[in-house]
Amino acid sequence: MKRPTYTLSSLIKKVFRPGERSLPRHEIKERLQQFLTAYGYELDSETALAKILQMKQSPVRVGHTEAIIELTYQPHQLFDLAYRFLRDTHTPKKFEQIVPELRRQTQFSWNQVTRLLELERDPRFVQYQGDPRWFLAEWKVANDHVYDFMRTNGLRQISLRSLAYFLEHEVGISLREELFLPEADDRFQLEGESLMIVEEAADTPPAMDGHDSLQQAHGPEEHPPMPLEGRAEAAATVSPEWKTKQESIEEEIFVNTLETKSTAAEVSQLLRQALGRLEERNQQMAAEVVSFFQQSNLQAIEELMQEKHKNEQIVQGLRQLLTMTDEQ
Amino acid sequence: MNRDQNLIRLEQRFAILHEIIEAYRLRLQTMEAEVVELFAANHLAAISERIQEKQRIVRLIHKLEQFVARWETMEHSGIDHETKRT
Repeated sequence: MKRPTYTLSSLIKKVFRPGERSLPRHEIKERLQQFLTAYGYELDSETALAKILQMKQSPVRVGHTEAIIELTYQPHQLFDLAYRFLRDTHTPKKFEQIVPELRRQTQFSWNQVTRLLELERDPRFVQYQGDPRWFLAEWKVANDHVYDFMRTNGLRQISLRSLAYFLEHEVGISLREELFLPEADDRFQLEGESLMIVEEAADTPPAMDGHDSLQQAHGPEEHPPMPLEGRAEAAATVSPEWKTKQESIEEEIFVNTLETKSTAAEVSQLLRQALGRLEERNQQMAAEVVSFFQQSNLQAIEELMQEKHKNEQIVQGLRQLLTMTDEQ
Repeated sequence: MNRDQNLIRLEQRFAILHEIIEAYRLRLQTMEAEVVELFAANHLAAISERIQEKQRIVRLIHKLEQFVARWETMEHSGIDHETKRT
């Protein structure tokens, strides 16, 4: 089972949520475990973390105590320029492609750029296994959507161009915003401009919302991939059918159900994210209180308490909304 | 400082002072944990008391440390239980 899978050092970057610089070890292990399971790693978080910490350009290190793990990333304008370059071009790039661009934009020498630009450390950049290119962590992978779309509509083969069209108009995904990585996914087979899907033995559980990165590469148990001949055969036997099927797609039916379902799911997910964010802030505040206490800054603590009070009210409101959304 | 054992242990006076300083530092650490709890429970007044207490302890530690630094190096010129001076 091959899916776009983050490398270990990229996986640990996803563990940190935006704005987080350090986390308690147990929290990291907990989150890391979820990612490891979701991506089909057969490692426990303890071993994985130890491995990552030993890496030469590890994105994390042990903090001032063993119980704290922090990011090693130090901001530098080169990182920001590289980030902008990838964001603006919206294409994954190899390191060798990024360096010349940064040299063009700055006065830094080739040596300086290669020495300073340790993308391994910056949490905004990630890599997939078996792919030397750098991606932005914020990019979403559309593979599950494409797979679901093709299966729902009984498409075995489609040209890349019409796929982009269908996705944009029927599912509401623009391949300009999300990335489609068929090469890293053994559910897909590319032949020139046409894309084929390879059926798996059992149904994949329908992802509640493919936008969640955790679920993107989430497959079920290991399925032995079909032998190559079998795939070609399967593709060949169904290819005459797909044309007629493609024409007879009942647009309204799947568009409507898919959209309302995914909107509600998305809203509920966003609410949960907001709750998670507030929870995070709560933990942060505990750390801030200690530092204000050390500075004897009662006023700052008072302000923090007001913020906490306000956040608690928001949490309460969000919880109510969430129950409402879930009941619908 | 175990009063039952010995009321005056002059030869250990600096060791005892170091212990006292260490105990105060531990107290500061537990206070930090307390403050986090108090913050969670919205007890601003109690936090304010802790801050005053902390400032008092910090001053005390500072003075004790100064004292130790001033006299520990001159131990042999002072009163000592063991070496009886003539």
